[in-house]
Amino acid sequence: MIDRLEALRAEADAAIAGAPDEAALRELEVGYLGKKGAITEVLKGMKDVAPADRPRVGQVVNEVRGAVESAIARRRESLEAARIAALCEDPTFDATLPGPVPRVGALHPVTQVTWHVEEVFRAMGFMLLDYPEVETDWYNFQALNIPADHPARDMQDTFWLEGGHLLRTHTSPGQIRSMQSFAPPFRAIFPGRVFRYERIDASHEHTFHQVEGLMIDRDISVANLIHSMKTLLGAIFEREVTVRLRPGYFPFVEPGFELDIQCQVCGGSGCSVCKHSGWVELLPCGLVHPNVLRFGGLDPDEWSGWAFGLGLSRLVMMKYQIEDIRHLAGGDLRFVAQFR
Amino acid sequence: MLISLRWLARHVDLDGVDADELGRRFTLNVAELDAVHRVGAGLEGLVVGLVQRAEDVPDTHLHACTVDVGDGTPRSIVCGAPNVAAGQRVVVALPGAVVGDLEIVERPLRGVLSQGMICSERELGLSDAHEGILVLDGDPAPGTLVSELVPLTDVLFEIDNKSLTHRPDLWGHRGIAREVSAILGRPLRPLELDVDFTDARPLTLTVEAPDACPRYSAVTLEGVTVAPSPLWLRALLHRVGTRAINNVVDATNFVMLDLGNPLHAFDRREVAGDAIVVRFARDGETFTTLDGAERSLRPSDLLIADAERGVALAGIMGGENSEIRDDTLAVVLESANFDAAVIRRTAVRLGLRTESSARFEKSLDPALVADASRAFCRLLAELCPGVRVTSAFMDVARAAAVPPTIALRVDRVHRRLGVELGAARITEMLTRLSFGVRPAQDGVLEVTVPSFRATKDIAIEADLIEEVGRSFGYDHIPPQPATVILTDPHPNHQKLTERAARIYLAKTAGLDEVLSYAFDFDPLLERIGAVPAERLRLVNAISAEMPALRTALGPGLLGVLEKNARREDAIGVFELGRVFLPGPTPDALPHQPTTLGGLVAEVAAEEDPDAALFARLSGVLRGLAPAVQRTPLRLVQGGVAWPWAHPVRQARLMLGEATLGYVAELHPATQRALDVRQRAALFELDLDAWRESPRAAVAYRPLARYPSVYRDFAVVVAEAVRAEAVADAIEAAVPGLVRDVSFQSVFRGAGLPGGQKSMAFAVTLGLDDRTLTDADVRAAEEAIWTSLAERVSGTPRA
Repeated sequence: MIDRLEALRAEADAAIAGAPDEAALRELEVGYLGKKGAITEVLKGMKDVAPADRPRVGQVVNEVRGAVESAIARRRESLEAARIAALCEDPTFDATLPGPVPRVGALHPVTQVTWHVEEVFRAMGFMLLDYPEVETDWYNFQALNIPADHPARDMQDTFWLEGGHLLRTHTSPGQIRSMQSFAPPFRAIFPGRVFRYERIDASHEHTFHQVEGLMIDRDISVANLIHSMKTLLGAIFEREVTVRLRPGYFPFVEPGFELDIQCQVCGGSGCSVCKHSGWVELLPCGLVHPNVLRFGGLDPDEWSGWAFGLGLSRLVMMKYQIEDIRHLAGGDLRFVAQFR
Repeated sequence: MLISLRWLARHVDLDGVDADELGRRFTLNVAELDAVHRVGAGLEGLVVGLVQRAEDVPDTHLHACTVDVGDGTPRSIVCGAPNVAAGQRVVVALPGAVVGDLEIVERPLRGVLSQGMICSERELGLSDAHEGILVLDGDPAPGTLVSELVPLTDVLFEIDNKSLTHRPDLWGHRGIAREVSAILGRPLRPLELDVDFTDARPLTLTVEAPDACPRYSAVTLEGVTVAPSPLWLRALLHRVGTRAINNVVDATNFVMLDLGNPLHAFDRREVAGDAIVVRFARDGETFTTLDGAERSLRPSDLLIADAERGVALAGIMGGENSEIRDDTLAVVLESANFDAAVIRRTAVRLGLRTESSARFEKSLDPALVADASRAFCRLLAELCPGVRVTSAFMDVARAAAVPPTIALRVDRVHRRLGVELGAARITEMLTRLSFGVRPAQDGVLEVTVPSFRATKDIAIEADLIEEVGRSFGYDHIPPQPATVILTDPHPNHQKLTERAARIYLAKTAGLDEVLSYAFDFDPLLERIGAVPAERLRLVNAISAEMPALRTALGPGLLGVLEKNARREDAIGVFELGRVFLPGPTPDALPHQPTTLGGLVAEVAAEEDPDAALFARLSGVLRGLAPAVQRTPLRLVQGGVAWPWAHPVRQARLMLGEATLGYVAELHPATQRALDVRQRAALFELDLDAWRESPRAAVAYRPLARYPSVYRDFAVVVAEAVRAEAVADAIEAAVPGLVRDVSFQSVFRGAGLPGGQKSMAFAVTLGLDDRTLTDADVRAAEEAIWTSLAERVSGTPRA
């Protein structure tokens, strides 16, 4: 019996070492060690072994069984190692083969720039507000200190609707609407679309985007305005900017300014972008006119504020150096798709 | 507006002033200069020449001239002008000079050597006259520099009129000079205004509308000889863009451009009845202005009339019937002040904006009337030595306004500007700008506003603070952060919703964002038969093609499809913007909800039995609800009336009982009308209304402790049965047991009777308090099949 066991062992060793894969190995495992396996069968003959020999034979059986088991485990281990080693070989692999790209849509550049501006202001505690595009004469003009027959109405060629309403010519009606809605002090921006009755060409649109900013508090000064503009524009342009204020007339601010930014292209030494002046006109701003505070329901002896209007469409054009404003609403997907 | 520095120098000493630096300071202290132009560069060396001989060059229009230029060497110059003749004193450009773009060189012309050029007025930048050469008056010596006789060079400041809208005092050189004098700290020269008026009052002046005409004055002058103005005057007018007409008209224009008050001269013969009446026009009264146009007037138009008829449209333009003619011998000079709104209304209505109306619209100072009248009388006498003033200064004026005074709190100046200046500096700055300043009580200055600033510009303390600020120079104010009070947060849920929707549609659904105009584009709407019956129409549309505001986003998206259809096979776009619907009453603002719209298109078979595009878009919409944290919308088939919507493949987007929008395939007829290859589907959704629904908060449930069991159901139903009904039947069968029902697929054809389809759903079952037993699952399956049979007549697929 012991001889048979030894023979089995030798046979198994050879077979296991030659097993080419896991399936063959599994077959051998069942063939030797399974319920009807060769070694198990031998074991069944134990009852015929003389009782005195049983411990010795039992020991051999266990040795052989253990040896076969460990041979299988070793072979399995080496087969696994070979399988993994094979998986780690790939002479055909090409990392530069392009994979399928998920379709990612573009956000319109006006949206992207608007969001950037909104982030800057939100970080400084400004509310974000939104107001109607069709407005009344009162909100768009009268409450902004532009009565009927005022020459300043010429500065803002207006689309009129039948019935007397109009398309807002600026985001400034939000000044009055926000003063009516919020108790001072407060600060807010209101971005949105505005309309001017104007023939369109590469640099003029009848429809464009602005953001208005308003800060109402007890003692707002020109020095505060300059500081705020400088800070905000620095955040928007993501670099230090030099600004200057010069007198500008807008009936709803007093004093009123045009804010120029030192030319970002030439740094102020003069180039074609700034028409060799070193400065680029960027936004109108000023201290809120006392009449406008009154129209908004605030006492100008108690409250003051600054306001500005920034052309977002223009900012988009500057940022991406877009040559034709008509692309913005042109619906040509070759334009929009660039902003994915 | 063009401002001549030579002209300015009549009012303030500009010696040694650098024009660019002055321009820069003017921009920073007063108003932006659009440009600084230098005229006459290259003309400095031009000299007077005496034409000694002028002979025709045979077979040409040219003349061979011999010209003495004062250096003892007469030059041979070929000249094409018809008027050249021996004995004339002319302007000669010698080689090296640059006239306009032309560099003068010695060269032969038609075989005759030409050693220079004899110049015309246009070549010298003095006028547009180019019919012949300029012949100088008097007898200046040959060789004299022409620039000593005629102002050939100048610097012009160009200012956008819009920058001066608020400054009636800056509509003439005198006003600009006043600001320049303050900038430079040099005095303004006093005006010379002495005129010998007589006591005669040959006209009766009647102002019937004193509110519209606060001041009207007239003077008569006789002994007039209408003739061209002298060169210096023509040159100055030309330089600032005004055409010279004749000495009388030129004098009115010069005074207007100098002092800012428009004047008008009538032919004395045409003022009937020795009367001038300032009155409103009668309704339908016609009047022919001197541009030859007959105009129909309204009672809101102010007219200057004589005893019989209108002679001028007040403040805008004179009448053809009374204009200065070549044989005019006597004139009536009108110098007046008109109400800004009256002039503006008429000028806007008639589309007749003139130099005069532009000024009166700004609210001119009534005190200017007398100065302007006197300045004209003196100038005309200079231009036309025979002229005599033959009347008194006839003046109908309301009592001159008392110069307004404004209390200026020094502390308020400091607080508003954010810089400490002190009363003395404030006083000095305001005084330079002609304000009267007197200390009142402690810390308060009593400021008297000069009449030329008091009509509109300066009325309140804030206006004075601006004067101080700009005089000081805003670039000298150090930036200073504002101190703020912490305020309550006001998150804008509308904007957050919009932002989430945009990010989802672009970055998850893969659509590109587009912007369209707020206007309907009628050619497209007509083509697809979708011109809305009711919409908000514009009074002044930018074009007849865009006459009204859009009522939907769909057409704009279809426009994008059409525009890109040839270049791209697959298109996916969205837009977020307002649409405009008439309000409840005409006075109310229209309803202008922020609306979200999207369109997907691809080249696909027309039949498309699976309605794949509709499915894709409805899938996008299902994902939108969690993206914007809103209650999911229900798709209810049918009821979409937009003409571009497929009549069957369409559904309303519903929230409760409210319809918020639609999703639909493109109507095949619309596709044909657009002539695009692609099938398309689109949706629109009132985002404002959706946002007003309760925010869908995440309802957290503890993780299932007991396992789920998954079962598939393939149920055969009639074609008319909707997936939603099948899902509902499954869910209703075993309430509390169904964790999820999800649609898998639909199958038609082989093995199924006609008019039937098989739908597959994957159902997840489970309990919260114990593991389901096999018996539970069998019972649930049975209940589901029973429910399917009862509710949708569904049978298991064999």
